[in-house]
Amino acid sequence: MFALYFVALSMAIFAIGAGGIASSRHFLITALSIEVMLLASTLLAVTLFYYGAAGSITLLLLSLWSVAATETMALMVLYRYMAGWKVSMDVTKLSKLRH
Amino acid sequence: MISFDFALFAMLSLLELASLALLFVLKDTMHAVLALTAAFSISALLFLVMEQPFLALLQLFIMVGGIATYLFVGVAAVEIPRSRHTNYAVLAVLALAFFAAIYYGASSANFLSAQGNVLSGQAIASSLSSSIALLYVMVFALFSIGIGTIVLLRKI
Repeated sequence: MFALYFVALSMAIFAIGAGGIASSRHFLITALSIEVMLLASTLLAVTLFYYGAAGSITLLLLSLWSVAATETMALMVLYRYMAGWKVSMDVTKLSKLRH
Repeated sequence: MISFDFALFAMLSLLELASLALLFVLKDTMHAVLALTAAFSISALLFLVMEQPFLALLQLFIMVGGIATYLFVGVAAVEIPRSRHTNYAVLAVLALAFFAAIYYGASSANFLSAQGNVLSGQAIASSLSSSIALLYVMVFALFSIGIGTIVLLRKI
């Protein structure tokens, strides 16, 4: 029964991240919402492996963390260059990166 | 009578959801990154509630020590004026709708009873040693993407 609380919490965190991507216009906040979704995935994976499955979760967790780190690195570089080129951070106004 | 574990879980869950809400409410992006860092730290505490100290440490090392630190440096390097960036009503409605959709889809799943701690230190060490090649590939991919992004952007 306790597992269901963790699953519900991870679903809530995932839903907040998904809602944030859909409702936010700021480039960085959208990127942080993706990190929130990956956090929810990590929590759900640990919950399900602890309460249900047998075997090792290490590779799955390392994959999730690698995806989060890689995406953060790429987005931070983009953010830095967008700020340097005075590109608007409003994602609804983005058309070409070169603007 | 509420058990100590449940009370601890409830308190940490509320703190986690509050820090995630602050991520969207705070106008300064640096404060938003602070809120996300707090969410990462609280998730490490949730791993401790699940009796996974090694994973809690890894979560702190990688998410807080790595990703959050990188976000801090990236955001601090840029000065952007503060402005409201999220529609709170849309966020609340969409988050509830997504939660309802996910919960409805997963409500028919059967969860087994606890099978003990499958994430022991020995199990992690043995699985790490058998996947060293994959770890090297992941690290290589990570740095290639980072460096490649910089090179491509400098050429644009």
